[in-house]
Amino acid sequence: MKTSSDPLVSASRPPPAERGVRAPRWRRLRRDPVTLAGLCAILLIALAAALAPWVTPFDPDDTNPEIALQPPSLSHPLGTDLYGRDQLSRVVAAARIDLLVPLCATAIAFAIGASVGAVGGYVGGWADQVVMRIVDAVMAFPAFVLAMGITAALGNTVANVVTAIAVTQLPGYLRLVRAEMLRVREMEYAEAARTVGNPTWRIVFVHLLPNCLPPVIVQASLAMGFALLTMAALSFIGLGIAPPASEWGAMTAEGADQMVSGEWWLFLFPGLAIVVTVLAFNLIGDGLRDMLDPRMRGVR
Amino acid sequence: MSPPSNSLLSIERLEKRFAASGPRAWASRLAGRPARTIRAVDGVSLSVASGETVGLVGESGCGKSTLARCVVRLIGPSGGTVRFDGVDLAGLDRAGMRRRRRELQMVFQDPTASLNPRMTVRRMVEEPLRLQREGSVSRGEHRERVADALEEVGLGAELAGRYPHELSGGQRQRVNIARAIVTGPRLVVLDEPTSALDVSLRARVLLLLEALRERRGLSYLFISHDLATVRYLSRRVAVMYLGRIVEEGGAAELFRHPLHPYTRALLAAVPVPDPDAAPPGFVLAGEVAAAGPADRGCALRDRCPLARPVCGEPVALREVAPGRSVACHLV
Amino acid sequence: MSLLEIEDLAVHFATEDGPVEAVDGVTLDVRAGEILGLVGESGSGKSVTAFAALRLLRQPGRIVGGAVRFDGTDLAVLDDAAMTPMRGARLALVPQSPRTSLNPVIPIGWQIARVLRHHAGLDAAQARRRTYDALREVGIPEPKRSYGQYAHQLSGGMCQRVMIAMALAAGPQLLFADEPTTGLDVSIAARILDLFRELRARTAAAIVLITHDLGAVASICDRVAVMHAGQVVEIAPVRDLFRHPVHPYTQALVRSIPRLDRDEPIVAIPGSVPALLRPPPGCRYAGRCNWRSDECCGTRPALRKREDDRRVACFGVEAGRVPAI
Repeated sequence: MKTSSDPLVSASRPPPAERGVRAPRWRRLRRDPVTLAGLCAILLIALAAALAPWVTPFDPDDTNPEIALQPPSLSHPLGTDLYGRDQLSRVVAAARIDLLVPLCATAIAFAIGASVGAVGGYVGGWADQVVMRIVDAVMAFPAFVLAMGITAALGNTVANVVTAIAVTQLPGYLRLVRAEMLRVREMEYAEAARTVGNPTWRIVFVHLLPNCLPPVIVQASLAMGFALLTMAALSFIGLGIAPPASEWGAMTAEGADQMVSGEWWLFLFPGLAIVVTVLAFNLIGDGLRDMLDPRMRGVR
Repeated sequence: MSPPSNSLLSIERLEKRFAASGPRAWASRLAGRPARTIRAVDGVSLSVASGETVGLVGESGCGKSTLARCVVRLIGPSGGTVRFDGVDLAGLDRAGMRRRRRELQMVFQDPTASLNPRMTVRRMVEEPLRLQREGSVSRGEHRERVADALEEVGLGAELAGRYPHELSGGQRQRVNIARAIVTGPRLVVLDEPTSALDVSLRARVLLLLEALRERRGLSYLFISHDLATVRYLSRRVAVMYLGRIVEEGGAAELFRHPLHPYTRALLAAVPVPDPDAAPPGFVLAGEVAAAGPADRGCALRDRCPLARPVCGEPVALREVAPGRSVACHLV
Repeated sequence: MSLLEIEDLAVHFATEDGPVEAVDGVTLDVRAGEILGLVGESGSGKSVTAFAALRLLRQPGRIVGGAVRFDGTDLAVLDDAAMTPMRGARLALVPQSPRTSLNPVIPIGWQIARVLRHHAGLDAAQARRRTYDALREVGIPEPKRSYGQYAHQLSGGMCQRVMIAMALAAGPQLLFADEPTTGLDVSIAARILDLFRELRARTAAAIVLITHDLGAVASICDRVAVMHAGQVVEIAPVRDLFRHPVHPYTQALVRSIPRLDRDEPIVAIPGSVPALLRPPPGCRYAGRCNWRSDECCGTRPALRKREDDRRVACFGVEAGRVPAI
């Protein structure tokens, strides 16, 4: 990243007094169709998930063997499954768990990882070294294998799935925040914060951590996508959310069984739901980071 | 030179050593040899009286920034004492030091790097007040004091909600100054406050610092490599080289008749805005030594054109006239 | 006779809120073999002018008017293919912050040698030998050993010398030095300035010294151009400029600098640099000037020749309103 000491950068950027009136954050979204698309998609999915009980045409758990394995039609736009349940209602209902679990897992991983990374990066010393070695060990496991191991060992409840995913993501946040902290703690404003009388915890969490976050925000949005994929994969192999609960991964697994006999709608729609959601998460990462950066206001 | 008893700040034989790091140092230590230490500050004694401005000049690597950080306790010294208002700062606990910080503040060199890019001006200037936890004081009163401080440094109230990147360099430095004076300190350490500013803005900041000093009865420890600005603001000046004070005295007199060879060379090197000024006569060879000074004798002897064998002997700062001290065998 | 003639140059930066008029009608000339000081505060457009002349401006900046005549050719209208061979070989730049301008992972000797191989077509061995010479010329001790060193192993002063060696390697006729002494210690800066003086004598290259350090200007420049908010306000021989500054801005600048040799009060320049986004029409110093008139606020004063070699852009000076100091 070019710094302002680069003469071409400083010569190409108008002096600070010139930047016009700050544009409110939402107005900038209009110039950023990518982020806008991502955000709209997520909002829609979230809305559907929240209003599921009132919005779905049928009860997602309502089995009706007579209409089993029906292709998409007017009454059942996404078809019906092996047990006669309406796919559309199931896909919408599954959105709840498929948004909540990644969200919780990411939030937990971020909260713990960022805090430990920030403190370790600032304080250093042997404790930091020990933590880093533990992180190295955890990261040596393929993430999915680790998640599998944890859910297999603890049982596949929602809480355990969240834990498993959080554990696989935590080291990433820890390392990222720690690396940023190593850079940021050398800045003069960190020294100024000390001179003014701040206790160490305030310097780390109030002054420095917010400045470590920009790369983490992008990472977090991508990680949400990964979390969803991990959960779906776990369910796919039977270690995630157990049936009869609606969950896109489990539904895709059921659909895969039926693929050979030609019932394509069973795996396609839940699979598409996963793809669209993960894509939406990926798209909003950069835009979200820019929105939260005070320096990006009013600059093209 | 023992510090006068009315000193607000008195630095006595301050030392700060850094152990050399890196693979070679490790190897030395493993082999049982003591690793090389860098003596960034090597026995400095200095005092600042109430209402006085003392200037500290030196080039990069002389240890003046390290000294500044030892004074405000950003780093702990390896030896010596720093006494503020008679109290030894090393003896204070965390709460005690925090209280002292109300009266002892610092302005940093780089106006951009010393402001948190994610905090507004108001928040940064208010923070020292909030941290002092004067229980009875309300938020409203804090706001007022912040507004007063901003006004005093010449920043309009409308700038309070801005972020650092929305301010110019001169404005950022003034926020720095506002943050340093908002708690009503008695001594402010100024670490190169104008060096990162444009030449046309320096006058404004210098005049501001002078006005603040008069109005609030402040004392300054003014650290800089810019001799002209040091001369303008300071009553007394100390010249530092490789961790030691080599000359000290009244500002006007010291710059008019420098005694120590280093001071002479420094003055000779300053380009004067007068095309007909005589070219520099006194030049030192080589560049500043990278590591700590030569062990026993004068640190300058490798570069000094006047060096004699006697310069290998340890040299102390001694008073050659009232209020004037030099550390040189040949003076 | 002029090596470089900049005539009525205008540079704009496109931003969300409109064009920032960083350089507005700048006219100045550089004569062969002279050292011209280009002085002004941050935002005065001095670096932008140099970059425009070298065609190094990047979006959102672009030249919107004027000409940059170098030895007859107008550089402002050349395309990249025609301009690239000129850079380094005939016009060169010593950029700010020498340490960050050097490639940190390549030895400094290679970096200089690359310039030689590219512009002078030398092979590796020849380039290496010439690099040793170049290092010696800029006063770097032990050229053979220094050749293999990396930027982080050198002090600021040494890095600056390497950059100067790189810039001069291909023998340019004109050298732009962007703030070469900023950030350097006083004694190191003095030696760099000495180096420029020596190099000018030895190579007959003209040097444009871009700086806000008036002391540096006074010590080595022949002529000085003073810029304010994208406009040139005064060009004069150095002695005349410092002895008797004529333009109000120059006068204010000289008065605002603390002096080591004299005991004088300093006076801060009133006001602040106007915004370049929707700049005031007319003279951009008018808002800060004690002698402004309505004419100043409406029309931009042109650089007008006064006695000898001096040019000043000020209606007040022409009308005799501005007292001499």
